[in-house]
This record gives sequence, C-alpha cells and structure tokens, in this order.
Amino acid sequence: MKRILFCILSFAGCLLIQDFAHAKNKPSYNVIINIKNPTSSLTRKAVSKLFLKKTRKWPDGKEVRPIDRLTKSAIREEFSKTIHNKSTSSIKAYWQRQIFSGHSVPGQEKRTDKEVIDYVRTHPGAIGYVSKKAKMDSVKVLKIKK
Amino acid sequence: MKRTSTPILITVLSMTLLSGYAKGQSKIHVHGHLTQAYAFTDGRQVLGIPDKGTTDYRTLALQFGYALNDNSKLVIQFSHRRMGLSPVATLEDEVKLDWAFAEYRFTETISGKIGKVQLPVGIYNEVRDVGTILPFYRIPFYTYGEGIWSSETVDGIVLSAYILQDSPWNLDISVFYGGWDLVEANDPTTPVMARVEDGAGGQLWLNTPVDGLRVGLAGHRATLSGGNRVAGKRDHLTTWTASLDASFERFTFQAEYIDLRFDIGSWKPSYAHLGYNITEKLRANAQIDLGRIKFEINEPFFSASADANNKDYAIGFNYRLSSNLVLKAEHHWMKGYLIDDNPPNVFTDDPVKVQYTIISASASF
Repeated sequence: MKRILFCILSFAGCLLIQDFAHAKNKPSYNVIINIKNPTSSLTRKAVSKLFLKKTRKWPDGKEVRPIDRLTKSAIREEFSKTIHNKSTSSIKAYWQRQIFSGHSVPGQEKRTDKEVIDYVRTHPGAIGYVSKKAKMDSVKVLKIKK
Repeated sequence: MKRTSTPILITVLSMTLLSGYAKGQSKIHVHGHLTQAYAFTDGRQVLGIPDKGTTDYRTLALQFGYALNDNSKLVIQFSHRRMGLSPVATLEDEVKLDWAFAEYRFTETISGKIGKVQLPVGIYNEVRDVGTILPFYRIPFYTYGEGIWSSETVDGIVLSAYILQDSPWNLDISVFYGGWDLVEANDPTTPVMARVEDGAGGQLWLNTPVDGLRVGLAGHRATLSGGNRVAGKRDHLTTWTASLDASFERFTFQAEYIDLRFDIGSWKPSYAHLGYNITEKLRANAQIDLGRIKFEINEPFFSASADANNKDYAIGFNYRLSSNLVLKAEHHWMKGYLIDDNPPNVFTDDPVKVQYTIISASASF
C-alpha cells in the first residue's frame, strides 16, 4: 500500500509542475466598470475575486455585480484563462459547487459587447469585459496590474 | 432546533419565493441537477446494486433561491434519490427536503445561516449528489457514507467567516450547532433511524498561495439517541476530519482522513483520489477508499471485539459533453462487510469481495 501511495504522490507531483507552465498572451479584451466607480486599477487576482464573488463589495461599499459572457464564446475562454488562470469549464464547475452548496450564484451572462456596456453603464457596481474594438465612451476601462 | 420547525420553515420560504415570482422579480434563481445510472455487480448485492443490474439508481435536486436584498437570501432545495434495492431506501421519502435556510451577510466576510443548512464538513459533504462535479457516481463511500452514518445538513445554525482575504494565506472558517437525522446500519439489512443532538463543531480551510491548493481540518462533538439504542440511552460521538484538496487545471489530488469515535469503538475511514484530464473533455480518475472499524463491547452478559477493514478501489473515465453534461463509466473492486445480502459478521467472518460497475449521465442547470 505504501508503494502505491508513493507512486500516486510522485505522479501527482509531476503533474503539478506541468500544470504551472502556462502560456501568456496579450488579452484582446478590456475590463470595464461604471463611469462613477472611483476604482481605476486592480490586480489580476483582485479582478478574479470580483468575478468569482469572493470579493462582494467595492471600496465605496457598493455591491459588486459581475457580468460574464456566454460559456462558449471565445472572449469568455480567453478571459477565464488570463484572469482566473483556468478554463471556462473549470469556472463553470466552481459555480456549480457554489450553487449546490448554497453559497452563491453566478452573475448574469450577456451575449454581446453592447449588452455588457449597457448593463455596466446603468449599474454602479457592475464589472464586465468587452472586446477592445467595442466603443467605450460611457464606461470606464479598468487597468489590470500584474 | 426541533424537527417540527422544518414544515413551518418550508411553508414560509415557499410563500416568500412564490410571492417573488408573482411580483416578477429577477432576484429569484432556480437551479437543478440530475444523475441517472445503470449499475451491476459480479455476484453479491452492494449499495443497492444487484448482480442482474438496475437502472433504478439516480439522484435529482431542484433548488430555488430568493435574494431579499444584497445581504440576505432564502434558499430551498428538494431532492429525490433512488438506490436500487438498498434497504436504506425504505427509510427515505420519494421527495425530501434537502435544505431550507435563511442567510444573512453581516459584513463582506461574515455570514450566518439558520434553518436546515448544509453541514460544512470535508471536501464533498455539501455537494454529495452533484454528478457534474463529482469524479465518480458517489463520493467516497466509507469516508462519507451514503444514506448511512452521515448527514448533508444540520437543523440549526452555521456561521461562516473569510479571514485574511487579501493575504496569500487566507482562511475559510465555519462553525455550526444543531441536530440531524442519520441512518444506522450496524446490520446493513435492517437500517434504523437515529437522531444526533447538540452537534457542535466547525470546519477550517487554509487556502494557500498556490491557486487550487487548500488544507482543511474539521471536528464536531454530538450525542446520538434512538436507532439501535435502548430508550433513553445516549452515545457520544467525536469526529475529526483532515483534508488535502489540490484541484488544478489538468489534475486533481484529494485525500481525507476521518477519526470518528463513539462509546464502544471507532470508525477510521480515509481515501485518496487522483484525477487527470487526458483531453479537455476526457478525464481519468482513480481512487482508494478505506474504512477501518473497531468495536469493543463489554456488557455484563456479552463481550466481543472486532477490528475489520473495508476497501474500495475504483477507476473511471468521465466524458464532458459540455460544462453541464457529463458521462461516466467506473469500475470498483470492493472487499468488506457492508454487503446488502447476507452480510458477513464483523466479529467472526472474513470480508467479502465484490466488483461492481456504474455507468451514469449527469446534467445540471
């Protein structure tokens, strides 16, 4: 039994090392917030916590309202990989665990850049992400620090 | 909190949820999950699975939630479970109330729940039947039980806090108090209901700077009445659970150890699980689930002792058609005493070997 456990742990260790080798590309999206939100920059990890509802309030006390994109969209996959360091299916699994343990439910999902911008523009605590091509004159682009 | 309060709580929560629907409010959420399986063994019947096979093997749940405001919500979940020919199934209703609770968030990091609330113990206790996120059809049987010696919920209160949230090392802490029902199956062919009272304990999770790696420690004390005990007799339970949960993008390694002590003996189960994503959709899983039971009975007219091991080795493959739809095939090699038909006597007999296979499909929304 000890030999089997040793083999399993060794194999797990090798996989762990492999798992940390991530390719990083420059994102093709902007993270946006309501124009009245005083926050101007956040770290990647802080943004991840907002979208996963691990951080629920902005510094000014407003409730955080994350807006995601449809599961199969390319922008969602890119956002999941660059902000959460996980695939969209891993994030979906995270939310299923949150939902069925009664802890939390995910934010809304929007189909287009325009729908995200409209929501963020009209909700003070909202945060979303849109492609860099989208017109963003009525919302604020959040700077992502390393 | 007494069991009689549950129907009142259900009524209040249901009326509130229905009034929310009537007003067309968007603060309501509805979610559900379903797992349907086909299972068979190579001979003896275990976990309700006969050698001829059964499709009467499924779990289903439907959850309704209503956010009263940013800081409080009501959640109710109903479930249905079939376990083939398991004697435990005779003690379960077709549809049962899984949980029903009200939650209030005191601060961003401190919250409380009251009602029939999920029991925060170990990696899987709060998500026992959610097939789309479990590596196998059921969570490790000896460690968590299913239907026997376990409860998903506590009738009482749970307080939770998230500490040092801005630190790379942070803590999730939950403490609970209350009671719960459980099924005792000292003889697996004739399970009986027992009641846990004054259950008090907690779960501590230490989240590490490595994203996905956490270690946990849980413990609780309680008294047990009813079941196989003579009227008025109470047993004392003390349980400790140690957990390691490493869940990464390509692989998962989980291990847990439980030390449960009661008046006349102890139950020390443990398991280790390794999962690896071969492709984005295909995942391989392997698991060792062990359960050691020790009894020492010293009554005036009867004394006996036993030290017996139960084992379940499993391998399986999951194919994820989408994030909400998963197919699973798994095979188990079991050796032990928890057999449904003519179970071996833990004091005098050798353990029985059984192999069983489960093929299942899980969906959630």
